[in-house]
Amino acid sequence: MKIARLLLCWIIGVIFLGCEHMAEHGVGNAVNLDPNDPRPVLRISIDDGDEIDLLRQQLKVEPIYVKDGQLYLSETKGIREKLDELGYRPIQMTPLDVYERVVRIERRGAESEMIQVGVELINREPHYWIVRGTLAQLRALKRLGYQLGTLGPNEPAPREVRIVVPTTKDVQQVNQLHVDIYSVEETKLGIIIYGGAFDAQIDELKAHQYVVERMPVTKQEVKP
Amino acid sequence: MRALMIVAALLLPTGLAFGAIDFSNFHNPTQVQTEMENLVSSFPTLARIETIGTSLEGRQIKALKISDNVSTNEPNEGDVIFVAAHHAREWISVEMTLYLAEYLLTHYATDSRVRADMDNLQIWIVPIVNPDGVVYSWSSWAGICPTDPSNPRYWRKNRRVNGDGTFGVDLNRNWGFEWGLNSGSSPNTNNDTYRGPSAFSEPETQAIRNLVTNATNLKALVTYHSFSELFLRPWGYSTSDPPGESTLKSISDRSIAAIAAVHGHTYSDTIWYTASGETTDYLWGSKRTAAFTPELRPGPGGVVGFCPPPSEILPSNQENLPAALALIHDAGAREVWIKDHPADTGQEPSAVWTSSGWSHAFWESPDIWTVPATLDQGATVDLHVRMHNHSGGPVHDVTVDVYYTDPRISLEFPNPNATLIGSWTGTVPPAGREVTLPWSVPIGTNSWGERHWCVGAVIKHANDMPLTTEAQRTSNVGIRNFNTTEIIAAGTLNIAATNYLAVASELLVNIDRSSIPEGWKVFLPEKPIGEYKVGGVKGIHRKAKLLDSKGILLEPGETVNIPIRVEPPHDVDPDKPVDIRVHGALVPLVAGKRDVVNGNGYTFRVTGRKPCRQCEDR
Ligand SMILES: [Zn+2]
Repeated sequence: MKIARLLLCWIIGVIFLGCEHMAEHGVGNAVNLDPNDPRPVLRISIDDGDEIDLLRQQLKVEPIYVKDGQLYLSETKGIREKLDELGYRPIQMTPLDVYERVVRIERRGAESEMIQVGVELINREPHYWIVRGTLAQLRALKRLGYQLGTLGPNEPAPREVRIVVPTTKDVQQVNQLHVDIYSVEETKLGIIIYGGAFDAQIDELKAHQYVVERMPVTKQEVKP
Repeated sequence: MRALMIVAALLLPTGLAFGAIDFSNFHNPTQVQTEMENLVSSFPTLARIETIGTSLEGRQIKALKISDNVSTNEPNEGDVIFVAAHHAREWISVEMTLYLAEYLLTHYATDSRVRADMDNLQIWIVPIVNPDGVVYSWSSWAGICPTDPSNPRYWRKNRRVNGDGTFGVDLNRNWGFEWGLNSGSSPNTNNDTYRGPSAFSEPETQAIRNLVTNATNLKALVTYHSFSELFLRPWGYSTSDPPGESTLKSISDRSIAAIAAVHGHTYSDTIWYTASGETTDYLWGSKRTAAFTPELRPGPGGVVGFCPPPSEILPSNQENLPAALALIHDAGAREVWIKDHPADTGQEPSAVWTSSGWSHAFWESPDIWTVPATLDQGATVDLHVRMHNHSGGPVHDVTVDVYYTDPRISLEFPNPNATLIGSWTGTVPPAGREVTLPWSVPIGTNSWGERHWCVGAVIKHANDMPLTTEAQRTSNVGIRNFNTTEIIAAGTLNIAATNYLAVASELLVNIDRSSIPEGWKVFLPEKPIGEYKVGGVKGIHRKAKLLDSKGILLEPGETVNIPIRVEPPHDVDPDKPVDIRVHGALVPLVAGKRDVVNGNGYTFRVTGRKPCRQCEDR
């Protein structure tokens, strides 16, 4: 009996230690997967930024974000009626499908399996992935047993890349993948682009057949 | 004690010497504030600090206003704005603004040109647009440039808590002109070009926008960035040329040459990629104010380019100073000009850019007239043009080109269909100068069957560069109808108006009733004006509804034809022609202060005739 108890303590100890070990290499603090705002969410079609600016100014609309010509906004008192009057056709959205998080996901199994829930990969770190997903998608990952953690300081971390492209049109192509372009230089070797990119952007650059060189982060930093 | 105080007062600095600010290293935000305060205490009548906004984290965004009578707003003076550090990591941009401020203030007393420009202008300098980002960028600085782009030293955006675990909006993708294009900004919060949840969502961009819209007579804006040695002009969002490209390019070319002349660094004017929602596009697209983005030193390279050696600061400042001073001078100089309208004092810019880059004209200039005043087709008359000179001395090598045009084809000077009447080149003395050219009045009618022509004069002079706009914005003046339009019993005058702004706008048309004698009836059309329109898009109507606009709605580039009905009185005197003046203005459908952009007007000289047999037989 004594032995059994000791054994149990020992097992608990192991589990406890194991958990600590997980945290050290794991995904950090738990992520809050509740909507940022308890109010319902509406979606309307808009033309351009001026229109959103006017909606904010004239109707005190509270934008959440804009995607593909659709403005997502918090439903404030009377806003639905006002939008109706102006000829908008507000559509009610599920907040879990609107609000997003950028989080760490424990690296487990195949990446292709993980992204099946619809999250978008940003970076691959040694012990976790960094992804963007809606609350609904991230809840699904949690249900599948993945550990989720909040971002660490300076995350997601862009990688410095050097891309040599043949034509000026390619510079715009690289820009359209939202690489943070630091500089562009025309040289005899081609056009050299320096920029900051996440792993998923580097994948896309490679998918476009660009040669992407990831610049090393040196220990000996440059003296200004 | 009293004697001691007097001695102390005498020892107080009456002005800082140029070179007092130490540019051997970067100024952190506290030091920037100290330098601004020192400049103000050294030049209290010429400089003052104004808080123009508050950042998300509660830091004040400060502008240094530099002008004579600095504590008063002088709406007749032009305004020029210089800003830096939209992007936190671009520390060298901050240095340029401090250097410029110090140069101007320390040269006011000794350099007559600087003095004249500061007397003519209100110069606004905002060294740090993004204080939260800059503080964050300085937060872990240990004097060594990291090579890891995720180091806080290389933070670009502001510090908005995006609510999804990420931080920051790219303030130079948050401006409200062509905001939100995926081709030049990112919708994703984690990206460095994240544009924000809506245009002007950030208090930092709102602060600069308010500075822009509150400036009573804004002539130009420069937004310093780094790096890679570029001098960029609109458009940022598109690779196509903006309206007024030739003017913007001329300023850019001149600036690049001025930069290169100092240390031999030739800045490029091309980047081959687009940026939407950036500052200069808003200035040019929504305000038709010239705006430029110099990307300072060093030349192209990797991420450490944001962290240049401090030894680059001074040469960067030195080489960018002449271009900044030339722009300031452009904005401040008013030398040779012609009145747009009788009340024109030459102070305000008036006509604005058109899609072709030429200027719209005003048609009420008292400075262009003919002798005799009444014209017959085919007759040769004397055409007089009067030029004013504000420079204080003679201005040499002034050229004035005088054209006539069919106002139904184009209201711009010069335009491809305009006919050159003649040119004059010479000196305009301080008292001004009148030039006379012979003109053979055209035979026949214009394309709308009216004997109605307009004359415009275009001044060219090296000291009246595009920004002063005396050459291209203010001086392009027209003249009223020459031969009269005859109206029997009732008739229609047709006018056309184009939205030459790059944003949807409301057109306001006014008939000046003061020139119309009693008994005459002049009506704007009763039909909804939309029926006269060439096209139209749905979004514009929602914007108009949001603003409760009642005017005529025009998409960018859209033209509307407006028939104006005229009914002379039954007992009309055919020997007494009547001038009917019609004027248009555009009000952009945008949030914030909606500046009215005056367009051109028409003056029709109309002769009324009774509906009699002889008249019908004519
Ligand atoms: Zn920048």
